[in-house]
Amino acid sequence: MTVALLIGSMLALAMLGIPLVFAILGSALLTILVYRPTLPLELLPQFFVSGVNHYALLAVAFFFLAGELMNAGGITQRLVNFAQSLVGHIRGSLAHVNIATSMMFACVSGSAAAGAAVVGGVLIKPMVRNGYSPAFAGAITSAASVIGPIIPPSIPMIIYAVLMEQSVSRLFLAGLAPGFLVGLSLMVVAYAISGRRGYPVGEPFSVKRVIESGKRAVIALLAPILILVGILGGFFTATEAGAMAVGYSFFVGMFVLKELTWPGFYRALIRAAVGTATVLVVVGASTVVAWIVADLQVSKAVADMIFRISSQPWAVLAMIMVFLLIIGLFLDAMAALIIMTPILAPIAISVGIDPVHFGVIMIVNLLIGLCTPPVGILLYMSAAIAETPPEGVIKEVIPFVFVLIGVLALCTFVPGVVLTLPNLIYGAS
Amino acid sequence: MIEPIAKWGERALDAVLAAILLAIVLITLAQVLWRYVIGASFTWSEEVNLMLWAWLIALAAIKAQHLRIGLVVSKLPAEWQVALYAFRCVFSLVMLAILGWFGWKMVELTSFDFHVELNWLSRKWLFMSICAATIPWGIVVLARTYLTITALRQDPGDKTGLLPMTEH
Repeated sequence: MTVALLIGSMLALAMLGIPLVFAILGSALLTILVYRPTLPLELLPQFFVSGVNHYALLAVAFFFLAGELMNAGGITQRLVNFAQSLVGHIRGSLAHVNIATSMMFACVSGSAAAGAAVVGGVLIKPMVRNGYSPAFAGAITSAASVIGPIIPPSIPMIIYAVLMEQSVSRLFLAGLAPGFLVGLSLMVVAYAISGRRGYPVGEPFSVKRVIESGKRAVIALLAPILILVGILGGFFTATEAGAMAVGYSFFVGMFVLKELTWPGFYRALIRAAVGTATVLVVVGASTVVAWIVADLQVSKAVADMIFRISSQPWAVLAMIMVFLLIIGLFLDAMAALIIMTPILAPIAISVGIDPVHFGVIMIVNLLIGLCTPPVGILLYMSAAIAETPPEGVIKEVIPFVFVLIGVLALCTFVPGVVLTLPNLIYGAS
Repeated sequence: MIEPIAKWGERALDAVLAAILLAIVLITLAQVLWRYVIGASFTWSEEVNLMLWAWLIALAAIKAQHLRIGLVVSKLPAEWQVALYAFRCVFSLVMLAILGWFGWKMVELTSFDFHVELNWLSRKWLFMSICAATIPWGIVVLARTYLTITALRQDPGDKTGLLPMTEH
């Protein structure tokens, strides 16, 4: 009953269009007033502030800012040229370039929306000029942008790590293989569709061009290598790595590529601050809910419902994954992650699922919701850039969504895909 | 009259946000540098950063476009939308008032609760950040609702740019 009141009122308020931060706080307040009326309401601001005030969360702002600076500093075009030299010769040339650029950009940025705006902004127009339908160009941009928060760095993974007291580095590493898998399987589908429609082939492959464009892109690609080596080698924490990425992208944009300006830097700081706050106030509000969930043993009530059907780990995972896919249709990925993690992760862990494995598949799952209607922000962003109605993009994205679900199923039921790399580096947890 | 004040206010807020975030980045970088170059680390950096962080988030929340689902609403007739906007506004203001009021109680409760390293800095300043933010945040909520409702009344057909599916 508590579950119904808490989640029901939250969804009802959210559906009325109330900002999520207030919808979540409102449902928390209602639940406290009904079930624990003696509790002091000071716990609302108390958990709101303590939920935000985590050192690891600083990395959210840092990776936000690093992405903004990389983009303002003229790095994107270099990545596109490098991707073109690598995969441009395959049939469906620019579609593959789009996916490969998204993968490289994912190594710098941790947000899907940033990827769609940046990569879509550079590649959708040339795709349409080269004979790809605007709807297809939009669809491939939406699907490829999902890779952004799967390949490290990743803002949702930082948030999950904080909520579940897991290691950010371990989660980052766990996202690497699934991210590449998503990219490669999207390329396979793009290839099949391009063959059928006769989409163009680019210039033939040349090692010389790869080296030339690679040299120009290396300055951008050095950033993720610096981040990964720094974290893995234990030289600095994920938070410090974020600050290093900011310092690096500032230096490169300002003094090496000379495309970053002081006003651009100022705007990037403000955009990163405001973007971070948008996510973090929801984290703060959800921390109140997480406390109530623990206090009223909501997770246990949900677990009982699930275990009544089955308590086999694979069946529990399958049920949670289907449930999350449905939630992802209606809720923004970040909001869903913050609200559902304290309820669902303990259930998965109680049947023996590795918390890092669960975090990665939960994030991949909810990200798929970003390119499904009705609340798929990436679809609408890409459609807007391609200047085409979203309906067409929605139709074109269907095969890609099925592939994404396929990769999700693989990562869910073959934990090795996710866990091999972090276990290799850090030892089994 | 109101417009220049709003513009000035937003500019001032922007400058404060940029300054705080820059300070956090610089302190974190300095911390790494000190550790490797000088071989010592600051003990105070984490406490300062977290205090700045609380203020950064609270102040940036004032001007943020908060995450919400706009789907159901944009399909309704204009008068219903106006009513819903008004309800949303009142609901948001009530939640802000609760956060501000009980936030102030937390300020009183923690005023003698000092940090470990910075033992002159009370933890009340963490909670002061929400108290300070709730009033301007509420004013922004009111102003945005007023502008949206006015625009809806003038031209119920054109909602582009005012009502995106989800605001990011």
